Amino acid sequence: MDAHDFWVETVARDGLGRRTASRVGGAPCHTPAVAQVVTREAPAVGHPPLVLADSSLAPSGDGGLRFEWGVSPLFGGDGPAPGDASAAVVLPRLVPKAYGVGPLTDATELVACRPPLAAGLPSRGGSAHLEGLPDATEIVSLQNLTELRGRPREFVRALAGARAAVGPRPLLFAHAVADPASASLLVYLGADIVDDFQAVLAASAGIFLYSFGHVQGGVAGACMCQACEEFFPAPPPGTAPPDMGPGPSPPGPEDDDSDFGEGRGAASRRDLPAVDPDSPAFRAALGHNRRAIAAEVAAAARAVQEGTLRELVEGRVRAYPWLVAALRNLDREFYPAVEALTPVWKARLHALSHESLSRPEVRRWGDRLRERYAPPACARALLLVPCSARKPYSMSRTQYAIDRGTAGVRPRFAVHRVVVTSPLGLVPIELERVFPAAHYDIPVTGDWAHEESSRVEEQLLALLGRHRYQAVVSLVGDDLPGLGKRVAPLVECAAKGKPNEAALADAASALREGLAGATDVTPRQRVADDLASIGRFQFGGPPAAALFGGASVRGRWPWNKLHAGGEQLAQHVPARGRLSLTLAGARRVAEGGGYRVRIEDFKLKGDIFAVGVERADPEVRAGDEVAVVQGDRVVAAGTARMSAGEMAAARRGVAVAVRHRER
Amino acid sequence: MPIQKAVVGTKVKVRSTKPVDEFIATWSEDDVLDGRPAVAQVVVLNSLGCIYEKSAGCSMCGYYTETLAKRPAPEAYVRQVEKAVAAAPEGAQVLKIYTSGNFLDEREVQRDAQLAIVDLAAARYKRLLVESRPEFVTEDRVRPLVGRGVELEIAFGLESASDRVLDETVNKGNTAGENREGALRARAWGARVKSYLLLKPPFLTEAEALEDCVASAVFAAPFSDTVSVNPMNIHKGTLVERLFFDGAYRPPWLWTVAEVMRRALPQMGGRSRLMSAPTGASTRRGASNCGRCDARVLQAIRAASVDQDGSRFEGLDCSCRGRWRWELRLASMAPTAAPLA
Repeated sequence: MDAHDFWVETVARDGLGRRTASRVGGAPCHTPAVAQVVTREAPAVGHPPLVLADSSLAPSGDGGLRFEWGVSPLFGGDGPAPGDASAAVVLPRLVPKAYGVGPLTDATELVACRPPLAAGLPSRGGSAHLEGLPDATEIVSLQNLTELRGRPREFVRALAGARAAVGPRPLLFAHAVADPASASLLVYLGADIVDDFQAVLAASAGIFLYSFGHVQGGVAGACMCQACEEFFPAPPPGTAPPDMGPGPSPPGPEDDDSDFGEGRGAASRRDLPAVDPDSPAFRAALGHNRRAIAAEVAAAARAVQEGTLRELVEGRVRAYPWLVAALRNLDREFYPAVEALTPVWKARLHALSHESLSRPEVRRWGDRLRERYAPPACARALLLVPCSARKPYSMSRTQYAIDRGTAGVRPRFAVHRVVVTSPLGLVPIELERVFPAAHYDIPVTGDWAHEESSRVEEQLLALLGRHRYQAVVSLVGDDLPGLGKRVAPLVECAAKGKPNEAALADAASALREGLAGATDVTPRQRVADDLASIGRFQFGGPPAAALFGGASVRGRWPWNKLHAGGEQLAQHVPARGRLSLTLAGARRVAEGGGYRVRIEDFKLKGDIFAVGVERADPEVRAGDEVAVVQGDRVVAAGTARMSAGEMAAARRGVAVAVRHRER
Repeated sequence: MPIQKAVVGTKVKVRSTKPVDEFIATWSEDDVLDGRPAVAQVVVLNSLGCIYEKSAGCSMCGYYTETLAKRPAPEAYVRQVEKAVAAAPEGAQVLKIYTSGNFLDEREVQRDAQLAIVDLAAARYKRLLVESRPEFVTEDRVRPLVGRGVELEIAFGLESASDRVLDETVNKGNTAGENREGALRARAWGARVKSYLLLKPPFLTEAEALEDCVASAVFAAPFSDTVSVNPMNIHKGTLVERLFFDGAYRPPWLWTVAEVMRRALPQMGGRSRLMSAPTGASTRRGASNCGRCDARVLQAIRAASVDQDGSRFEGLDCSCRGRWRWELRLASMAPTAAPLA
């Protein structure tokens, strides 16, 4: 094995989850991946690209990547230095030495072995100790996580905390925790490699693992994998369905408090059944469990690529309460780390569960509204309108009806429509094409959770505090009754049971009244103000001010271009709701002090690779428009392909896809 | 020694509340004397406790919760033993004096008290067992106690033959070699030697614990008259208890105790007696099996402890034995000493 043939290249990311095309000890390793735990009793199923094999077994010779456990340091495993001739990557086995004492005992340890490999014991309180990794580390074996199953807060701090501590580059190997229900969450928490130890353990007790939970003896017909097909023969046509047992019985003295898969080893399960390793039941459960975990890891990999990992995770965690709690803890405690690695653009977003309200894209929307947003300068009257399933909203029947109902209001372009929606809260109409405003979908029932309505109120009050509107008119009384009582000068025009025509007429007259005596606003002026608003939302105040200073807008909405001094600065991309920069525009943004990627001194050809990046402004995310700076010059404009933190840590991969560069 | 901080940090404030002239407890138990079953009386004294515990302590030891803050006067110790001896079970031939510390350390038990207790034992018993760390086994301490009409047996907490286990998981503060030297000195001055082995120290998997204990029994045999396998019993106020509550530790299976004896007996060459009397057996805090077979397995362990016949474990079976075997097989594939399911 060539110890130096280790590298990691992230090809797609979604929060802490990612896909990489890596090499480990000379063998290709495409992550997220699952290593089959192979022992004498539990042979590999198929030809797994990764195995974690009992070291006494001969290698299979099919060229896959093989991991082995080193000898425990308590019994002669001195110094985790396996022979370089070994065909396997030997993982040092740690024994906790530095148990600190807190509310819980806390194992914190880090062993850096050969340069590319390290092993760590996670801490329940965070994993700051892992920050001591040598810079060359490409793979980290994270041990003792098994103990933390069933403890959502500590588990998240251990795994996501480890990712936050080791940075975005090294591969994280999370041992002995993955099952079908948790595999996608583990990927979302930052695990690159998991093993299927739980598949073997469950099989040893005759337990079949499914994404919906675990079942002793399995469920005939619930899975069509090869192992299940062979073990549960299909009944001949016309036979009764299989006996599923009597169902839950009332509590009795013989109650068995099985918590398999739900974590917490504390309940001693010495009466867990034991299935003979030579029996068909063991082989079937093993074959099924291995495939079930592998299938979930494959689904997670695909979801990362599609930008839908969060949706997958929100669904899967529902198998066990502690997994849901873990996801909520991640949102609460690791938002900055997750947000930093979440791209600013995705093809779609489904907000389907309570946890969707706190997912990073949604929270980022709220943060940017608060920190970056200011309404178009010429807006004089605020009109709150209900959302629609059709995106962008202005293409919806609701909005056409509002257009017609308020057509006579003058000055027409002084009316600022703001869409009230969940989970985002407020969507000012000029941002309707910005991700995720034009890309989300929710199950619409018309019922608003308290959290959703209070989010709207909060954002509305912040908006009114920032901009002086002469009138605030609402057409969302159906959705948020009583908003007028809580937000001072608001005129409510719609209410349950009130005909739409009447509500629209009321709104039009309220707007007319509020706008009496207002100076006229031209369409050109409004478009310029809308684009400036988009610019502020995209780049933040100072860079947007630098970009728009003295610039003029050309073209017909939404196909607009920004010019200054006969030079194009930027173009509005309606499909993405973003401004794309020219070199001149990038120069202005950089002068404004944001979205700069500073590169080392080399001749620029094509795209910028991560190795060439010196540093990037911290707000840069995958999908952002950036200015490439070399020395004291802006030499290119392009789209970031990774976040600022990744650009600093990564040694491979495109950091910026260059659109324009200095000739 | 980073584990020391954790050991110290898990201690509780509980101490003995009994008056200085009252012993903590006494009971009788089965023992073996000259190859025959005998009755032993155990007396736990209300003592100052282990001097090593005051500055450090072991990860599994919670005996300090039954000790006094100040050393009782020699007369108080003697009074305790007199009261206990007055309550001696019928036919008791062996007296075991436990001080939750080192009987030979005069900072814990004064020389006068040591001598008086030996003389009290000599009046009624054939053998007196006391416990000590090896550093207190010196000629001036041991010689005066030998030859006073009662056979003296000194028990050492060897725990493991592996210095790394002693250092990194037990926090024992001494080495296997120091224990061996102490035992050899005790024998040279006419005392018998008993070595305690700790079965399943923290951070060891079931399989590692099994191997470690077999190796330790073989290590102890040449310098021990008796080797006692003590499967972990979780004491209050210990690091092991905290690990247990965290789901990071579980006491060993009774199958492991049986397996240690089955495998160690033929390797010990009959030079010393191997025995085990698991405390807290078949409870959550002690060695146990599924509950259905615990009594049977314990009975075999007890019988083999007397007759040294390893074949007593043959044919012993239960549905949970398969679970135990799986745990041994799988332990090496998961990087944790936590119980597996």
